[in-house]
Order: sequence, then C-alpha cells, then structure tokens
Amino acid sequence: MRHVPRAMFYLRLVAAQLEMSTLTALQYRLGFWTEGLLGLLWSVIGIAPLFVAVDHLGAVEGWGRWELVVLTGCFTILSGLFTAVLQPALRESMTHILKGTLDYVLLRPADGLVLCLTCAFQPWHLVEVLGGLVLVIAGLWLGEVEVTATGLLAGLATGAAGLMALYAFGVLVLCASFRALQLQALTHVMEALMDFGRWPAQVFPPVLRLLFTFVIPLLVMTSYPAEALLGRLSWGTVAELAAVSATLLVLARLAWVRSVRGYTSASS
Amino acid sequence: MSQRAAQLARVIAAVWRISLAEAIAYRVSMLMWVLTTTFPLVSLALWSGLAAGGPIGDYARPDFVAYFVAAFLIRQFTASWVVWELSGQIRNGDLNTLLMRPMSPMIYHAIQNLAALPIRCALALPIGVVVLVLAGGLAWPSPGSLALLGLSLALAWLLNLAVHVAIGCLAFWVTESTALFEVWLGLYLVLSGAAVPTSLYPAGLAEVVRALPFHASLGFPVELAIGRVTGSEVTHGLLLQALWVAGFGLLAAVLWRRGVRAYEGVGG
Amino acid sequence: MTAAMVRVEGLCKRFSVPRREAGLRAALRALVRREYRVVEAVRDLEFSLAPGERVGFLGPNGAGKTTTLKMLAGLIVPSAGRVEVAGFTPSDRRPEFLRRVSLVMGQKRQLSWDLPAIDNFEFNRVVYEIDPVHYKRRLEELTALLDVGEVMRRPVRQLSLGERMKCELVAALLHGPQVLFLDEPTIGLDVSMQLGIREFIRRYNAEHGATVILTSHYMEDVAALCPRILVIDGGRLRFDGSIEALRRQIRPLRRVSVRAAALPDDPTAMGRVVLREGGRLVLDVAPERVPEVVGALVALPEAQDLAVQDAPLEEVMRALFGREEAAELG
Repeated sequence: MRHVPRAMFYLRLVAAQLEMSTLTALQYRLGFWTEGLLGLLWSVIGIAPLFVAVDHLGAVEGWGRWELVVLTGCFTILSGLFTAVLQPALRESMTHILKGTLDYVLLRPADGLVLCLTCAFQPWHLVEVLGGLVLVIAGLWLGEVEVTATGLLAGLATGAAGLMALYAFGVLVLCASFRALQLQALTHVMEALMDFGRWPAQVFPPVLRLLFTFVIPLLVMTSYPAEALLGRLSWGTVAELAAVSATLLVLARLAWVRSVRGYTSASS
Repeated sequence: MSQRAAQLARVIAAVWRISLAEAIAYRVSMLMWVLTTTFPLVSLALWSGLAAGGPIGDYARPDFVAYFVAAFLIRQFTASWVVWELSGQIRNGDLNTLLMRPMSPMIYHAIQNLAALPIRCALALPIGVVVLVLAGGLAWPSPGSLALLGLSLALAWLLNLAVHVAIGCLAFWVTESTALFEVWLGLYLVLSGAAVPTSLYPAGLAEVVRALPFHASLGFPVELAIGRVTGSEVTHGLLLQALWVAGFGLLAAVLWRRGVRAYEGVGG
Repeated sequence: MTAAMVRVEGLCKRFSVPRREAGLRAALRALVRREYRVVEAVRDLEFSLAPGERVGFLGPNGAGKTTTLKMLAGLIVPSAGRVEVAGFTPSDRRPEFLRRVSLVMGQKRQLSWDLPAIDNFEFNRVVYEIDPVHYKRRLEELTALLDVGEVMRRPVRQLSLGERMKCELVAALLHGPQVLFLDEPTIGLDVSMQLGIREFIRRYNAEHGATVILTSHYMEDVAALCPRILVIDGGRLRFDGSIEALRRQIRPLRRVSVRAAALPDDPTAMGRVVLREGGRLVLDVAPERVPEVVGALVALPEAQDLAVQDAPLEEVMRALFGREEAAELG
C-alpha cells in the first residue's frame, strides 16, 4: 500500500547516513592515505602466494596467470566493498552495543537492521573497488578472453549473490555479538578468512570447498563470479549459489529479529 | 635492591594472576583468536593439495604439513595484541590510570601478554596434535636444537611485542594507528611465511624477504622447528632476529618516552 | 483526563546473569561450567500516567528504574505483563510509536562525536520524516530556548558536557515526541546547568503538553520537576504520589527551629530534640502538635528565626532506601 513512499524514505535515509559518515571520514585526512591506497596496495601484494604457486606449477588447477589476475580483481572488488561499506558498519554497530548507544539506533522509526548496516562508511576504500575493476578488465584483456553477454550476466548475478552472502554473514556476526560482546572478534575471523577467497575453488580439498561454498560462502563471493566471467559456470550453479545466498539472508534476518527481542541494553 | 626486586616480583605475580583470570573470563575472544590463527591450517590444506602432483620447490607434501602446523603453533606462542589495547588506552584516556600505577605500563602489557600464553597453548596444542596425527607425523628437533628454538621463540615474541608497542605508540600523534597496524599485518601475512614458505619465492626476491623483520618473527622459528635451517644459518638467523628486536625495541622505547611526555603535557 | 498515555500492568523483567566467585580457582571453574543466576529487575509493576504528566522514578542504584524506563521505550522486551504507551505496545517498535517518543540518556550520547550537532539534527530530520518548514520552525524554537544557536555549529567533541546535553535535548525533541523519557539527564552537570535543563524541561512540558518521565539520582531534579513520583526499589513499586505525600509518609514529623535567649527546660515534651546548642533549638514535632509547639516557642524570651519545615529530602531518601542499599543489578 505504502511501499513506494517507504522505498523513497529508505533511499533518503541511506543517503543521509552515507553523508554523515562521509563527513565524519573527512575529519581524518590521514585515513585516505593509510587506508585507501595502502588497502589497494595490500590487495595486490596479497596475490604473492598465488603467484609463487603459478611460478612453480605453471598453472593452478587449470587457472592460468591472467585468469588468476581476473580472480584477484574479483577478490579486490569484494574486499574493497567489504572494507568500505560492511566492515565499518559492523564495527560501528558493535561499538553501539558496547557503549549502549544502540538504544538510540533502535529507537529511530526505521528498520533497525537497515540503520545498523548503513551507520558507517569509509568512502576511500572504494579506491580498492576501482582497482579491482581495473584488474578484472586487464586480466580479461591480456588473457584474450572473450566475455559473452551471458557470461557477464552470470558474473554479475553470482557477484550479487556473493555480496548478499557477505552481508548475511556480517549480520550473523553482529547478532552473535549481541549475545557475547567478545564475539565481536568474529569480524576479525571473517576478515582473515576472506583472504582465502583469493584462491580458485578447485584448490581446496572437497570438505573445505563445501564449507566455503555453503557455510561460509567465501567462494560464492570471488571464485565463482570470476569463473562466470570466464564463461565456465553453468546456469544451474548460478541458481544454486543464489539459493545459498537467499537462505543465508533469511537466516540472518531471523537471527536479527531474535537478537533484538533479547536485547538487554548495556548496564542500566 | 633485593627488596625492590622482591617487590617487583610480587607485583608481577599479581598482574599475572589478574591477567590469567581475565584471559579465562574472555575465553570466547581467546577462542576467536585461536580460530583466526588457524589459517595456517587452511594454507596447509591448500598447499598440500597443490603438492599432491609432486613437490613444489623443495617442499613435498609432508613438508607443507610440518611447516604449517609449526607456523600455527608458533603464532600462538609468540602472538601479541598490545597495539589494540595501547592505542585504545591512549585515545580514551585510560592510559592515565595505568600511568598512575607504580609500574611501567610497558611491563604491565608484557606480563598480561605472557599471562594468556598457557591458555592459548591449551587451546592450540590439541588442534596441532590432531592435525599432525591426521596428516602423519612431524619429526621433532633434537634436545640441543630445542634450546635454540626456545631462544628463537623468545626473540620472535619480543619482536612482535616491540612492533606492537611502536605502532601502538603512534596513537599519541595520529588517530589511525590501528589502521597502520592493519597494513603491517597485511605485509606480515604475505612476507612472514604465514601464507607460503618464504623460501619458495623466486630467487633474488626470496633473499630480500628473508632478511625482513616479518620473516624473523615467524618464518625463521618455523624453519628452525622443522629442522630446515642448520649450521651457520642458525646463528645467522638468530643474530638477525636479535638485530630486529634491538631495532624495534629502541624505536618503541623512543616513541613511548616521547609520546608519554606529549600526552602528559596536554593532560590526556 | 481521558485515556492514559502510559499504562503498565503486571510488568516483570527477569535477566539471567553469569556469576562467579573471585579468584583464580573460581575463574578456572567457570571455564568449565558457568553458573547463572536469575535477577528479577522489575516485579509486578502497575501504574498509569495521564497525558502531559511529569513523573519521576526514584530509587537506589539497580532498583529497576532504568529497566522500567527502557521497557516503556520499547528497548527491552518485558518478561511478563502489559505495557501500553500512546496506544502502542512499545516492544513492537512500530515506526508510528517510535515517532511519538524520545529518549535522552545523560550517560550515553546519540550525537556523532566528530560532527557539529546541526549535521546530526539534519540527519534526524530525515529519519523522523519531519517536513522542512516544520523542522525549521522547531529548530529555531528549541535553539532559542536552550541558547545553542552558535554552539551547534561546532563539532560535538569540542563542546562542554552541558552544551552537549543541550544539543542532545534538541536532537531528541525535533520530531515533537508526545512522550519524553529522560534517564539521568543532568548527571555530571554543574548546578546552574542543572537548573537550566530543569527549567527547559518544565517549559517544554507546559508548552507542548508532552508527558515527561524522568529518572535521576538527584533528588532536587525530581522534586523540582515532577509533581508525581514513583518510588521503585528492588524492582517493586513502593510509593506513588506527590513528593510531599512521600515526605509525610516517611518522615511525618515537622522540623521546628527557633533561636531564643532562654530555652525551655524540658523540650523533649514538645518533640524529638535534633539540636540544642547555645540559644538554638531544633525539634521534630508531630504535625498535629505543631500549632501548640509554635505557640510555646514564640512565647520564649527574645524568640527569633522561628521556622517550620518538612524533613530534608535527602533524609527522606536515606530513611527510605537506607535498609537495603545493596544494588542487585549493575
């Protein structure tokens, strides 16, 4: 009935949140250099182990040098989005939980989860996203891969599924930290785990591959989009991955509703 | 003089007891920490998978197992997290409380760090043993080299501590010292040998990487533990470790002294 | 009054909190098995408030004041019982409800540290969907009342505690809430700032008819601001009425003091002697005997400074809570 105005309201709300955090971020100029550019540098340096493997083996499980560059590009885009949008929001929300100021967030007349997931933003990490895009394009170009329209579509679809899975996972971590504040360290676990997203799916032993596809959908975020772009992924797999993400999202939403009901607010 | 020493010993014992109790109280975060540092085990799965077809460089499959299990355990033994605490204390003014105590905050942090060791070992050793049993054996070094390993571990721990304090002290002047540490951490993961043995880097690059403090804080003790360095290489490596400890120790001491002066000047 | 603005029936809240003894051994034991203990923060609370009332929650630390306040605001879901605020069940957290209430906590800030308050206000305008004309008028009114016109353009970090609290109040009131929850709003403020905030709240309540619910450690806040108080102790409602009624109930005796050249030989016949020093006499006298005692005291030679007062509030509170100071909930 009022869906369209609500959507407009949420758009305005998210814009206002982004504006606030950009204004805040601008207070810290040093962040631009330390976090943005060095983040990009680090994303690129991170390929080192992969290239050590290629150096010794010629190709890693059927992935040649340039294909690995595409994969690294996908990874860099994702980790850039993570550090620009999701990670700061998770950290800020956890600080709110710790200090008890989550009270104010929950008292605002809008969806608490939307408020939490948009409450902080680090614009300069978008540099990494740009860098990742450059890597993807360069890898495809130099590897002389012809990207078909369906490949591109499948790549975007799996990428979107991966991003959703990442968000769902972040929300689950946030919910866990409602229970025990120390579980905030899970974000570090999450960050460190993400690093394995650099590797092609085929490298992992079957058990880990299942784990990283269905439980911690790391590969959905990086390896599969790259494969889709390279035209190696069937639509069946794409649908499967979308289903995984959707399931995680539903789980995350349920966990959120439960957590808020059990919220006890920091000491009275 | 001996009276003062006895007094110091009592204080140290008290800090130790409190820190140990704290470490137990925060066992969830401890578990998180152990989880984060289990990544060498994922690297293990990765590399032993890659080495299934034949050795990579001079590492065959069992060598990777030994290497990464040792890396996992040694990271547990030598870890530090002072940078988070220190920069937090500097920013929110809690350092004032620490400075009021009749004991250097540096010693306090160091003891606190050591206090968590037994628990970490208790959590990490079983994991290491299980992996070893599953993956098949590790030849433990002879008693003589165990002493050398102990020395190397102590140096690695000191090095980590000094780096943490040095970067943590930057919080006296800039707000984003933890961001700088993330950069250090990124380099560490690639260059220390946590993700790939540094000896596998291409010739020329490998020598440079192995001279850096990252390798001194992890790669060298690991290689010592699995018996990959012998003879004059051992002394050479230990000397290099000692050199880095001295360098970063000096840097940390200077930064700390200047920082505290600046901090007290403005009254926190 | 017609419908109640706040209605509370049989309200309970239980928390289970981990516990352990002090010391290393207990810590080690807790590693294996953690013991929990159920704390009943609020038990069977019952009251209702009319629109426009100013009500204070009084009680020692951990008495359940803040928990109750947060249940009214919809932050904490009650374990049992019913709460209705402005016609809504708070814990449903419907946007329509949230737009009608506001919470200000003295110890927690909602304003972003690094930005000027005005940016925060602008954000609240979007969140609460306040139309721009209305927003402008309201902002002007509030900033004039609180005198923060210049202050709100500086980063919040640079403001004094009092200035910050004023800005917090502006942020909380921009959307014109019908119910205002204040949790220790004057904590840490100096006396003149406390007075200013108190005066503002009173004026705001008078002009806009908003219901104000306040918890405070400072008796003065509650006494000066709230015609009605609810005393909550150990999670239970112990008293509901005016501050005068509370005083009379806890300390029914009136305090009569006088200065005279010569004092009566046996003042204990008039009441309890609080002080007898030089030419000064202070007595606690039963209310029905006050006229008689005053008459006798006026007749003393060179009688002056005769005064009849209620017992001081602090003393009333001490008498009320002195028995069980031990807080149950942190």
